[in-house]
Amino acid sequence: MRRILRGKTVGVAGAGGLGSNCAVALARSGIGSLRIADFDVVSEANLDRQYYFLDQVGRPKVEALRDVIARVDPAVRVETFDGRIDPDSAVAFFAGCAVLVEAFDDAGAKAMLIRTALDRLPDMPVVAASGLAGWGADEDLKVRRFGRLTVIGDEERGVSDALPPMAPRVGAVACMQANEVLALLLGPMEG
Amino acid sequence: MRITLNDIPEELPGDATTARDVLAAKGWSFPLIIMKVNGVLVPRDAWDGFVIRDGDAVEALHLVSGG
Repeated sequence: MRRILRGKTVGVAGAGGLGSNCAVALARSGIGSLRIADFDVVSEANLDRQYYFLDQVGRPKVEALRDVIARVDPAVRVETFDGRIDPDSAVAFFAGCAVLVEAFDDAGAKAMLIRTALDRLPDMPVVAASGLAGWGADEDLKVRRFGRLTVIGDEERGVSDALPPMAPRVGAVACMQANEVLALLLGPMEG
Repeated sequence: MRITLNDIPEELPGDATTARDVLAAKGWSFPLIIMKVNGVLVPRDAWDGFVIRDGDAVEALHLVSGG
């Protein structure tokens, strides 16, 4: 199992609540290589749900996440893109990945990435997230597959002032995304 | 006609409609919508001509913010 995963490259678009938690789960699982893209820097407000630490505030998220992963497993190769992903940069940076994880915040950015991947990155499975704000309602989290696109979340609860993204539910969806990546790479479990 | 939309029963006027009209009836105009009818993906450029009939199971996905 580890031998299969060591040979795989997974793309992670976004290194916020979803992307940082998903990437660390994948690194701990033994993925050989990660390509991580984000334009943002770590802020104190991110620490409520994102896989960063106080001493990393002010650093580009992709660098901070690369350091976190190196502390977990220095054998994981991490390539970073510190900038905004648009259709062309998405194709250039993620081409060749075995799976692409959509981990953006904004619905429009999610749509752009998914459409780009489905149109221009042939055969690449995409694991996206939609609907993870708030707390509780674990029973509403679902996995739906539309061709090579998998979407995880409740598909309903977007973030708002009343419904912020919070560590447990964001982390749950991020780990479900990582779990789906493993299923895509390893095939279904036996038994 | 009666269909299910994301597993929820929906009553629509007439005997048949199109994939695009189902979305219009729901007021869906999100930046990305992906549809399946009876388990089969229906590409966006086929929505105008894809006929939905009584009893069909329509699945439609859109995205909300958060990450």
